[in-house]
Amino acid sequence: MMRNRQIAVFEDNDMQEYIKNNRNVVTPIIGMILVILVFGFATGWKNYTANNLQTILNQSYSLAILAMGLIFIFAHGGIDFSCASVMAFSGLIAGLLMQIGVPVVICGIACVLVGTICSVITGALTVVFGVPAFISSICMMNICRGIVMAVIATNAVSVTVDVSAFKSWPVKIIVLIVVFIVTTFLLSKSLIGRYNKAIGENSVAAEQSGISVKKYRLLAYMISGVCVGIAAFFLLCRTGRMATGFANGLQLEVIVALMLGGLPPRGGYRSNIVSAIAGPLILTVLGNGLVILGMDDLMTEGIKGLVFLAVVFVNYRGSSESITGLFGKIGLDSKKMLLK
Amino acid sequence: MVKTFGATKALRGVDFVLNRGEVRGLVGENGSGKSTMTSIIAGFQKCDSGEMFLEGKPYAPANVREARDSKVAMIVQEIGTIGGIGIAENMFLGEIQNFSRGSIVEKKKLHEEAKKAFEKIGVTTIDTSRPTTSINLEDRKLLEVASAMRCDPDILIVDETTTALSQNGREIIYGLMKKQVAENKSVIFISHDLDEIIEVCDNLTVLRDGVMIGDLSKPEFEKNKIQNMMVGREIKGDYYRADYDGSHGDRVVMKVEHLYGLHTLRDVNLELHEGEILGIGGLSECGMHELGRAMFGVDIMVSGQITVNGRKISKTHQAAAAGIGYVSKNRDTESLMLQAGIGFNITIPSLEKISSFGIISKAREKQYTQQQIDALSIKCEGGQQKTRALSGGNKQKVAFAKWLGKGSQILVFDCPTRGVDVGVKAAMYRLIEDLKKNGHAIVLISEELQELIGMSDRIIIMKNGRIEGEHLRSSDLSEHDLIREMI
Repeated sequence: MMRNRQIAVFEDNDMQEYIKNNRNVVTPIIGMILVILVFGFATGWKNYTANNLQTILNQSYSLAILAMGLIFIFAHGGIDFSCASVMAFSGLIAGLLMQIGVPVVICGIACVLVGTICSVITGALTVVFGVPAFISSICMMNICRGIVMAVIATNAVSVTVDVSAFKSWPVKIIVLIVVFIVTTFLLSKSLIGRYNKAIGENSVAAEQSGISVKKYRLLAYMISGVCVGIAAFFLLCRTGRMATGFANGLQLEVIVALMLGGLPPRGGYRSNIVSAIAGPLILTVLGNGLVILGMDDLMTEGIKGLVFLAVVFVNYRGSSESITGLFGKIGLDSKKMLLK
Repeated sequence: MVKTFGATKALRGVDFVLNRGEVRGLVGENGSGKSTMTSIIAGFQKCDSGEMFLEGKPYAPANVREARDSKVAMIVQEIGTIGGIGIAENMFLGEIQNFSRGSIVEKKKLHEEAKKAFEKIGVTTIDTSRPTTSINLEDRKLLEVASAMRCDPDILIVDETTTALSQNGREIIYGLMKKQVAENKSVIFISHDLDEIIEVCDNLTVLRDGVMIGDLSKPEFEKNKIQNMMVGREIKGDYYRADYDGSHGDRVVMKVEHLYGLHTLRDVNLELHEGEILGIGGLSECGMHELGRAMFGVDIMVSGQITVNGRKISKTHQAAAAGIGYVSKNRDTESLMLQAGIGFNITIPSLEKISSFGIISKAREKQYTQQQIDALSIKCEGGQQKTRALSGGNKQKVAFAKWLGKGSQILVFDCPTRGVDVGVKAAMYRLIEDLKKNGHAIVLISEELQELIGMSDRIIIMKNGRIEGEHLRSSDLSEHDLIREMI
């Protein structure tokens, strides 16, 4: 008896220790469960009908894949506003290729390639030429969006071939799981992830530890670009046509999602892939639930902003540096609300 | 006029008296507390305990403005002006509201006042409407002088200002100092140039390790005597290396050839051998820290090269791959990731060692971390503990462990015992000695001369970016020999 009790106490301590050390992993998971339960109750579980569940998954799908790539850039302390526009641009290329009769799989690969190239160009501007990350990514955002607008203004681009395979849930889920496993592995078990976290933690110390800072920052952009391409292709298949507003808004939503998911605003060694799963889910269930409850769109955005603020203060209270780092991002979110 | 101090660490209970109408010199080694003390007097920072009295009244300036209102002004050692704004704006920084009507600044008045301030110190050649960056460092220093003199200070503090100035600029400052004395006002003068000190000062206070060692008056001035007082520490028996055997391997492991740096380094040549402890000393700005950074590929060099086994080093990852390890003198900001765990820090340079096919093994990581913690007996709760929570000495051990675990053969330590207590210091010295015995080559950059003498097989003294002298290990070597070459 005595022995048993002692062991129990020990495990309890271990658990406490784990929670203490991984608050930014544990809190978002609890938050995710809470949001799911609260909205289930509030809507009388109407929001989890098969139909609505699909909507939720569809909405969080692009966001999650995007977040799993972008987290590498965030881990080293960077930011990327261009991802949504790059999605539109690579989707455009894929769509154009489909129209001239290129096999769907090749179109998909092209989509991923274009996404990767654009992202690496943004990265090179920042890493090699020293343009601040937010400026270089805003430039890339405008360039890509501009091209997309110019092209669709003259000829409509839509999916003319059969892409039902890429719309079916089994394929989508498998791709999601594969991306999840690969990025999880890269972020927590590989040199790329570890070095990027070290750079986010203290780039001077990282360099003075013999890390080739430029190389690993560029690799982060590359991984992010691959994910952007994947997200773009599936979104294109789902929507069936290219529009000027393709994926627009995701660039900010993904930042909010990652923060909600507990990613430290400056990246660093606490960056965890959980943020890229929990964040998008929380955001989507929240938005979707509010709509089902009869809230109008503008209000939904406002409430999302408030929840975001609350989470930020709960998560990052006590570390003043993190809070100031976040204010820029909160500001962006409210700007987005105003623009809407 | 009496000033009493009792601040800790940098200053450990200093009593200092400044009389009217005197130029009091303040000398001491790097880190002896000269600048700390004068910056407290001038209101840049506050002391932890102790009191100051100005003309018999308690005096405790909260900031520089308050100090200036009490007629105490200081010309600082570093650059004290802001580059991006105009010269006149710099001079009246913090007082701009005096020149504005509503929210509009009256530029004309500003420039007139600035011009007057310059004329007061006898400078007429500076156009006050130009941006500060357009004038050279000497004129920027004069701008600070003019700014400080505006309040007609009763106490003028000159902190190593003359080293940055040409003869012309120096004459201006000497002139001001003479004027102060003539008007029965006082000057505190800090310089490393003992000849200068002897020439311009009436009295002298010597500081060492934050303690006042003694007061000298003009007739007592004697260069050797002052040096003795500045250094004057006995080397304790087993604190440093006990042997005077400066032998080492013959193989050259690192070669520095005709190295010119962006800032100070001028034509530096040296060779580092297997099993050698090479000490590099000099004043803070002599280029020794830059040389250390260059050896690890941190700074870009203008010309010349550093090679290890024929491989050129110009980037940090090349240096690390070539078996060089480096611990910066700014340990907390440059060598460590304070928020991250101890294990995270220790493993960063050697991740390739503990991963297979690019996969980091958690178990091996944990084991490796524990090995290093044990090897250096780092006092901590475990590899997960935040590095920030450690004491200075244990943090330094973590920075050492990064490279020792990796097995780096060449170790560049920049001020390895800075901010480390005596116990850890002794442990570090033992460690360095053991490393030498195992054939590691060590570059020991230090501002503490007794440390260099106590540990090095060979000492290089630098001055103004050049190698000024070289000394082999010997029991006869004294700090005076080194200081003579430094200043």
